Amino acid sequence: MKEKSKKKNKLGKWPYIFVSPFLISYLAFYLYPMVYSFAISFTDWTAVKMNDRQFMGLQNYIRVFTNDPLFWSSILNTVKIMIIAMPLTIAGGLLVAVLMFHIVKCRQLIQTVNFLPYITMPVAVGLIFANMFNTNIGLVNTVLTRLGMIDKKINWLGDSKYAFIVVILICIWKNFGYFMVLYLSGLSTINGEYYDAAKVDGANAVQSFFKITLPLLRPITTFVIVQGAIGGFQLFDEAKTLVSGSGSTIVGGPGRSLLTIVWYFYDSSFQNNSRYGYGAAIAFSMLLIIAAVSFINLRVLREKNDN
Amino acid sequence: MKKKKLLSVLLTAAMLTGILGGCGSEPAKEADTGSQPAQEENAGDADGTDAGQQAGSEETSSGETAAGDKKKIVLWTWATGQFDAVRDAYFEANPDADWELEEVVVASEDYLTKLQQGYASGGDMPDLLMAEMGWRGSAFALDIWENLEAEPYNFDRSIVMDSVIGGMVNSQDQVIGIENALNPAFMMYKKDLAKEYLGTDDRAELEAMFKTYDDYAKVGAEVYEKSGGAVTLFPGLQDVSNMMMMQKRNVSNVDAEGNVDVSGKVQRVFDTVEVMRNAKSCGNLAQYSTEWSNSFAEGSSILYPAASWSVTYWVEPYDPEGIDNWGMFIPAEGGFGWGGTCYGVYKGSEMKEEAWDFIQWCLLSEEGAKYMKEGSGFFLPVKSLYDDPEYTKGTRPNFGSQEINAFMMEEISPNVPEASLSIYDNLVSDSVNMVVQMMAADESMTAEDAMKEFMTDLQSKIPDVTVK
Repeated sequence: MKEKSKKKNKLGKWPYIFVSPFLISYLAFYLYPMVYSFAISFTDWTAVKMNDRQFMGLQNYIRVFTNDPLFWSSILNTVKIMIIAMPLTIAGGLLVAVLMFHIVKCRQLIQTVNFLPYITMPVAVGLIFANMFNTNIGLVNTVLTRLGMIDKKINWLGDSKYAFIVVILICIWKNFGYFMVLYLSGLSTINGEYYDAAKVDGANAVQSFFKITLPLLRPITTFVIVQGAIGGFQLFDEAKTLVSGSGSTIVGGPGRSLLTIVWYFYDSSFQNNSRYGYGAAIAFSMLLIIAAVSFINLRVLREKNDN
Repeated sequence: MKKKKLLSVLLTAAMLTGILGGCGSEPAKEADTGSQPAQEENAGDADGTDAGQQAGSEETSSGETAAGDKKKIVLWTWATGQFDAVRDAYFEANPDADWELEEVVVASEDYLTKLQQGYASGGDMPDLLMAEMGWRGSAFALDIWENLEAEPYNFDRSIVMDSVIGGMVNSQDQVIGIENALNPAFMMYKKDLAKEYLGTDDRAELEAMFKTYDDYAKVGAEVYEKSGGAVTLFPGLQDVSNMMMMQKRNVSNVDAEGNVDVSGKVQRVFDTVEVMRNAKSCGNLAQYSTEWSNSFAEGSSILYPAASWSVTYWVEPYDPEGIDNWGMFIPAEGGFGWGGTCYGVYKGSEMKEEAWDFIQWCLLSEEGAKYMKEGSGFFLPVKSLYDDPEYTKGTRPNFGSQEINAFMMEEISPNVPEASLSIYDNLVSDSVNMVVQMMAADESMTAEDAMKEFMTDLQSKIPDVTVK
């Protein structure tokens, strides 16, 4: 015991010195901006009222939750995109992971190809899709026309309902590879003996999938859902670059159907007359919502796991 | 062991130095702003050297570079090269000027945001400020501009045309920016297409053909039918809606009580857009998109609402082959003012007097006027310049023998009303553009639906203000 304490004393200031680079970075670039943003969320600070900010108490938050229709419509847009895109991405990722798990040849290559969209810059993704779905010269309309599936070119990026579909496609395409890799790692942890036993009992591949694979992958599914929900709430670059890539400067795209919560936060904070105080209040309201959704997600999934 | 320890200490010290060094910034002399001029990536500086060469140099607090290089006046601009000719002429005329102009590229749509962020964060700011008409109201609301009528600038507003003064003053009626040009706007047409589909490329006949917006719709329907949809009268509905909004830009978006009141001017825009859409008078191109730019050469549209700067910014670069294939005429409901950029001095700049001297020479002097006209096709709004009848004369190859300078300056400019600015201008135009896009996508959407959508949208953006 004495020796341990002596050793501890001997270390002296060195642990602190070695930890300090991280600690200083954390305090300067993470904690301080967060606390500062929280503080300004109670003020009416705007770019116009630069040196004349007033403390407003909870007024910004009250306005966000009670008198800001765009905040709620941006939440709704985000949730709609998430609710449609996430199950499809998860199902696709899981299915391909299961199919790929037994492939020996070119498995690494297929894995890498599917993972590439996840590491592609969101701006590039937005621009690529903007070009593909361009009404007049886009590949998608050209192919659909040549196949005789459409007579009139579809206004993909100018019509709110089609633009919404394109963003969902982006979300699926981008995240599908990442989910697949997570499921592949989950699959490698399942003991093969379960499948052997099931085979002996006469179970077919589908039964094995639903009775063994799916239940044993539940921790991965929980992680994927929580991650997907957090990522979904942060959707911004893809939607914005998709709209600007189509030559439009309209905030939120056609009919503001692509106005996600982060885009709305960005617009309020830095574009629409730079309302920094109000923008910060939106950010912290968003934090509350994401935390609540994550908490509910975890609780529901944990209860299911326990059952 | 000791060596290892020493190495660890040195590495830690290096990391800490890096981190703390990154946090440090040059203390600005101006206590009220805490900002200093920018030294960002540049896209071609005064000497034409590349960005890499400039990025390496460090400025001292006096604006002079550490290596003893020349001082710099930093200009954030979306129109790089616009000042090339006039800048060279300035330095030739002022050999004692011991500074150089550094242009930093900032897209027009990001400019206001960047100004606001730079100012709010106490970060980089340019010495020379720009403000485009579309968001000038918001830019002028920022406390970053020098009052150019005060010492040491002493600008006399009576030397410029009355029509531009409204766009040069802030809410305290102080001149804080100098307009870089008169921006008369009109209708531009492609002669070959006009002859083929409208039966004439004569300016007078076209003016007689298009006396009202209904005429555009009627003729547009004929063009669509005749061409089988390959050619439209206008590239897109947004061209029409923006032109109509500009024709009413003298009507303020804010009433005397501080409410946003746009119902009068917006309703007629939606009514017209509905008629034009149903007549298929317009294509489906978004204004300023790549396809829209390419359409100047492609020949898919006949008419383009345009301003004086459209000649050098769109026609000449995008249709270089179109020599003598363009013309101008006065549109239905008359000429109007469109766009315009003004230049001012950043109040935290350390190069204020030099910056003002440059602005004055380029935008208010006879010598500068000559280069701005020849290099950029810009006509300065300085009254005395128009005493010389030769100033407004001139042609450009794409417009053949048409005296376009005289047309713009003598026929359109005198009738352009003064612009009225407000901080809601960019919000109003964003909502109008959004609704027009919806109308283009949904053929069942009526002007009435559009108006409702517009009011709801604008009101939701500014819930604290009454929208009429």
